[in-house]
Amino acid sequence: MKRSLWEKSGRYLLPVYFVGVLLYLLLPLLLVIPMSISETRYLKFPPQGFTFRWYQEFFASAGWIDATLRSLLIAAASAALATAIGTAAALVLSREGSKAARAAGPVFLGPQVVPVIILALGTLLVFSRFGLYGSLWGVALVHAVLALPFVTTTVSGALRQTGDTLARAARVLGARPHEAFWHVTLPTIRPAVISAGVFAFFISFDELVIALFVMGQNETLPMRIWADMRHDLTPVVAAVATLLIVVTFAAVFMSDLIQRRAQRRAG
Amino acid sequence: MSDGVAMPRDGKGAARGRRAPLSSLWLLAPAAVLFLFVFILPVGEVALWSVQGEAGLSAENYEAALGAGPYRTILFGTLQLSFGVACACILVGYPAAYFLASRPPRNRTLLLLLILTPLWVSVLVRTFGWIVVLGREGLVNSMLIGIGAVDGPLQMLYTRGAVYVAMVQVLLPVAILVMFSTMTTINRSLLMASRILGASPWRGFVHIFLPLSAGGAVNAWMLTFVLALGFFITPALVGGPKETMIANLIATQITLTLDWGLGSALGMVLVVAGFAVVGAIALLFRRVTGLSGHGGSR
Repeated sequence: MKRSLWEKSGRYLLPVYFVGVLLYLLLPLLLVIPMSISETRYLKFPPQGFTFRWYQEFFASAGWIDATLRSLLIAAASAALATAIGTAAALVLSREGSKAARAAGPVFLGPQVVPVIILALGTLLVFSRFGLYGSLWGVALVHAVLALPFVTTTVSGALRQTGDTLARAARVLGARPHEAFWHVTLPTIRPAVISAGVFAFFISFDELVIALFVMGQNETLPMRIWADMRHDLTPVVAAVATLLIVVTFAAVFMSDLIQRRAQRRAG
Repeated sequence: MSDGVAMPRDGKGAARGRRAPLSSLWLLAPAAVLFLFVFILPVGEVALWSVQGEAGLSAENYEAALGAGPYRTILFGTLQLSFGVACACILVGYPAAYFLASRPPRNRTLLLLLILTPLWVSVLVRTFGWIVVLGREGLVNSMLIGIGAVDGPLQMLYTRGAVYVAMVQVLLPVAILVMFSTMTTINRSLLMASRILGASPWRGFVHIFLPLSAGGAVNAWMLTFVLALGFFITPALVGGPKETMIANLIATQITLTLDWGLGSALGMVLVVAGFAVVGAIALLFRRVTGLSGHGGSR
């Protein structure tokens, strides 16, 4: 009796439960999409009618577009920096048994363990001391630190998987270290570097708390969404949210595809 | 280790002495510099501000933050809420992680991707989704009224329940991922062996799988707890004034009252309290598992 109940629960109950968890995670996101084409000015479910008005309002508003461009610029700079620096660090960190790697590994996880609000506060204090308040480049630097642990873990994972036999062979055959990196190592870890870059981009693009503390009048897209959600909660937010969901999902699945294709080629 | 022919070339230690270096330690330098100036320096600055009084070094900010009054209440409220959210993440996530880990690797990747995708969507957008679901004219209310279960809309937004539901949803993928990666390292033949020796699947689960996956659950708990402590967006958007968390309080101190010293002290208290709770849990776990004989099982 007991046994069959356990086995049954494994066969039916758990999959049903899992679908429930998936719905819990994904449904609130997907419901945002129909809200963005509803005609009502306040949020009402089910959506009424059909209109692209809120998208038009987004693209016609200088405030929204400026904020979006600012966020794109910050995210691009931050992702480029984090990917370059993080990949360089991963080359050292992935070498097993090196003392530096063992010491530095956990340290780089710091930004993930300390609440972001502390970093935001500290950034404000430092920025105001050095006159960086409202600086796009300044905030890009901080976002790069947030993304750094992610880049190093992704890239050093790929480096460990491919091993350094080929790069070493290149060195033996006379290639300089940077040549071995460009022509041998980088092509094998490119998918990991790309996906690390994509995620570093989104870490910055979605980041609100630090930007809120130090950007002042130079509103970023999350700051603009935040202000709108706190005050008027217009359907324009639903339109922006829909755009963000679509772009994020596309990027995640694309970088997954790139990685999987690389794996298939390797295996 | 016994295939002696390949050893000298591929083995770890043998060729280290004469192989040409592939990367120098200097490659760590840019990351270290960035880290020093953009992480260590700001956190240090917070520590510095927190002990600065009107005239030199002083504990007055900490007295204000920890003395009886609204700040202490909010601190305990934050710890309590984060504790509850972390526990809920483990309870809800464990069966899901178990299910994932017992799938064949082929369809496991897709399911894991589905679980993790929300992680990459902005917390703002995810919280907005809950406003759509729980709002006065949201999904739940319109359904309840539609089937005639209630007469008027229920107040669900701006309550503690809404904060719980939304925060657990935001943190659940992290908890599932951590527990799942521990579960995949568990040797399934142990369970098979217990079955052959006559144990029921339930017994095998309780005595083998559960103890071996407990470490992952504790790690997941600690991570979600620490992340929950710093939550700022969700409580502000779907919670009421009673759900104010330390992070929101710090933001108020910084942007409205301009009391940077007090804000810094609150931040330091948050970090220290977080590490203290995590340390205590880790210690407790080690002691308990040590006593029951499952420690160091691998």
